[in-house]
Formats: sequence, C-alpha cells, structure tokens
Amino acid sequence: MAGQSLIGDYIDRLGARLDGPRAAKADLLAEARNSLDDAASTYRDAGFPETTAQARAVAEFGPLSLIADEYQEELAVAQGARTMRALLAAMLVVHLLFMGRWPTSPSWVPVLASVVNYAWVVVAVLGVLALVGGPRLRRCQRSGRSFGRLAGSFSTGALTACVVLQGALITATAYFNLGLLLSPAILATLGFGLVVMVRLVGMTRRCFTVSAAA
Amino acid sequence: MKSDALRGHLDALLLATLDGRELHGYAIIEALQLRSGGALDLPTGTVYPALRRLERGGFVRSEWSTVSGRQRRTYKLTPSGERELANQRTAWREFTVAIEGVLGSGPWPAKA
Repeated sequence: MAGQSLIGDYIDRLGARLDGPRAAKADLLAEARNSLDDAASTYRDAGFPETTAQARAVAEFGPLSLIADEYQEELAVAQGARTMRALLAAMLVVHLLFMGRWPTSPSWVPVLASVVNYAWVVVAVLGVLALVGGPRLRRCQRSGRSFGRLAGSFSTGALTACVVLQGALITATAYFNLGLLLSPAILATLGFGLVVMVRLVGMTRRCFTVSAAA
Repeated sequence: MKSDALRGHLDALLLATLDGRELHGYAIIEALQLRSGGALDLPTGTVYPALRRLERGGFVRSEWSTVSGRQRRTYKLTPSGERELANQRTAWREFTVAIEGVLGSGPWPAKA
C-alpha cells in the first residue's frame, strides 16, 4: 500500500542519518515507528484516508533534520556509556591477568607495579563516577553529545595512562628478565591486552564521531 | 503556541503529564494536546528525546511493555521526578505571579 511507505520511508531516512550503537538506535527507531503508527491510526479513525493519515503523522512528528539531531544526542550518550563500561571491564580483567607477574628486582620495579595498581584504582573510581554521575550532570542532560565527548576524553586519558604505565613495566621486565616476558603465559596476556586495547581505541574514537554525527 | 517558546518548558510539561500515572509516548503527546486544548504545537518527535533526557537525569523510568496488544515503551515518574515536578510547579507559580503583577491590567500599587 502506498500509504504504508510514507512512515516506512521516514523511519528509513531517519535511521540512515543516525549513527550509534545498533541496539540503542533500533530502540529509538522502534519507539518512533510506534508513535507514527499511533498518530496515523488516530487520523484513520477520524476518517482520513490512509495516505493522508500517514502524511499528517509524519508532518506532525517533525522535520527529519531536527528529529535526527535530537535522536543523535541519545546515541552519543549510549556510545559513551558503552565505551565506559567496556573500558572499566577491560581494565579489571587486564589488571587481574597482569597482577603479580612482574619481576621483583631491581627494587623500583615492584614500586612501579604498586604505582600502576593504585593508578588503576583511581581510574576505576573516576570511571564509575563518570559513568553513573556523568549523564546526570546538567551540561550532559542538556546535551548528550557532551557526555559522549566526556566519555571519549576519559577513555583517551585512561588508555594513554595504560600505555605509559604498563609500557614502563613491560620495558623493565624485558630489560631485567626477558625470559619472564617471553613465557607463554605473559605473551598470551600481552596478546589479549593488545586486542582489548585496539578494540577500546576504536570504541573511544566512535565516542567522538557519534557525538559529532547528524 | 510556538514550539520555540515551549521548548524551555517541555521537561516540566512532560513531568506534569506523568504525574501519578504511567503512559507511553503517544499517550503523553495526546495528554499534552488535550490538556492544552490543542494550543501546544511542537514536533511530536521531539518528545521522545526529551523523555530519554529526563530518564538520564533520573526523573523518569521507562520500560517496554504490552499496551493494547502492542509493545510500547512506557514512562513513569521516579521519586526524584516527583520532587522535581513540585519544584517546577513552585517556580512556575512564583514566575506567573511576578509577571502578572507587571503585565496584568490591575491598578499599580501605591508607593510606600
């Protein structure tokens, strides 16, 4: 039916303009579709033909550019929260995998390992605060894109700290105990850490692109 | 009423619409239009991001549920949303009293 395609076309064009996590986008579009169907149904019940009913529903819903811009705000929040959750989970797993594996001499290596441990605790606490409290900040409530950029910036800082601090420990281990570094367990952990790092860098980058989209 | 003028009050209007009840998005839009006698004219699509924004702020809670045989996301106020609505109502009353005092057609009070 020709009338059916008006709402379908609108939803398709809205979906094409939006960029963000698939589940969050599908959720927003499903709700938009329901609303348009409800509005069209109301007009049909009032005696309007199908095409007119759907055309009115679409017109009422709003211009595509305005609606896409507002929906994109929510997708920026979803991307930011997803990245923060992944970052915190990955930090915990990688930290547990590396814990207690570093050389015990020279004496500054265990000290550096302790500094790394404390740094992760600080980053984890800040990360949980940002994840829970960030979306409620007045600025982030007004603009979901602000939360997306906040999450991206936090993740950038945490990943940079990870590269610097873990890199220092890995370098020290390579220098003082190469055999330990080349053990299958450490190599497997490093490989896993690298894969996680690449994935997190991609998600962090998406925070900024999703926050700038539409 | 122009949608630009409404946007600054949209969050409070949505909280008021959800006061004491749970509604899905389109029912909220219908309630807004009914209560305003059709004077509130804003793109209905902007209501959904506003509802998500309120949810982000902890003022409303939402869930998918079956309403009239269809899956819909329904919204209701949280205790924090109820407090925010009370604050918004108080602020609005103070604002209208102050504006009415100046714009209203009554006599100006005598100088003290």
